[in-house]
Amino acid sequence: MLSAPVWRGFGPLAFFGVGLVLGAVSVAFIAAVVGGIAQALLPVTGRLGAVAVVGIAVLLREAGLIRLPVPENRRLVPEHVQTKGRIFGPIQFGFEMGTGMRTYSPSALPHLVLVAIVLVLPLAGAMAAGLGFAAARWIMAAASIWHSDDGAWTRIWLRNARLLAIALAGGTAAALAAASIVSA
Amino acid sequence: MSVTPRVRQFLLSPLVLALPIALGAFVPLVVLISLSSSDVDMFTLLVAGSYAAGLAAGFANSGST
Repeated sequence: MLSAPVWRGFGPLAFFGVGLVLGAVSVAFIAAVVGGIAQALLPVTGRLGAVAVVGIAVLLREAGLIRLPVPENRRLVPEHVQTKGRIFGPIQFGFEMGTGMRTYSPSALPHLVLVAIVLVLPLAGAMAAGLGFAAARWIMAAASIWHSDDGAWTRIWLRNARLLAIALAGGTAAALAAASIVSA
Repeated sequence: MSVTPRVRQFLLSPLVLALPIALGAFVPLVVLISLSSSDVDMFTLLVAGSYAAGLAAGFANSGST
């Protein structure tokens, strides 16, 4: 959908970014509120242990060593959002992508971050993680559009999918480990 | 200064974008391990680690567009 002509130009991309931030920060905030209750009720060692167990499982999954289905909405964001104009269309599309819950999820790393937000991270960490998620999705979308018109960006990604999955899983786990240790 | 299409495609390719982000996400943990707690602001480390985790996780979902 991002290759459609309606997304050309910086305006739609900027509104897409606004939607991404709104969607990602909304989910992070709700998870942090729920997490505030969980973090008040559960001991810190149990919470850190649970995040570590989920983290190891996700690392093994991203490395292709185990099969671990993750919750995902197996559909594309509906194309009718394009009919909502050059402002609200990109904002809604970005919001749905930003939540991470309205489309496919080829990686389990967003789920790992969500678990960490609920069990370990305080509100400031949750907001930072949401903003990071939104920034990555914007950079990725902008890069794929500005790279070329023929879908080559996605083909390069798919050719190197395993390497990228392992590298990004290691990075996510290391960053979450640092944030979790500091939060505990 | 104009950038040739080949250079632009290289700079915007998934590997050139994602691998530095993946490596950069290790920085908060390296800082935490290598510095004593009195040398580093824990709130900054929390925000940096959380942001880096979100960034790397967001990139990992790139196949879904």
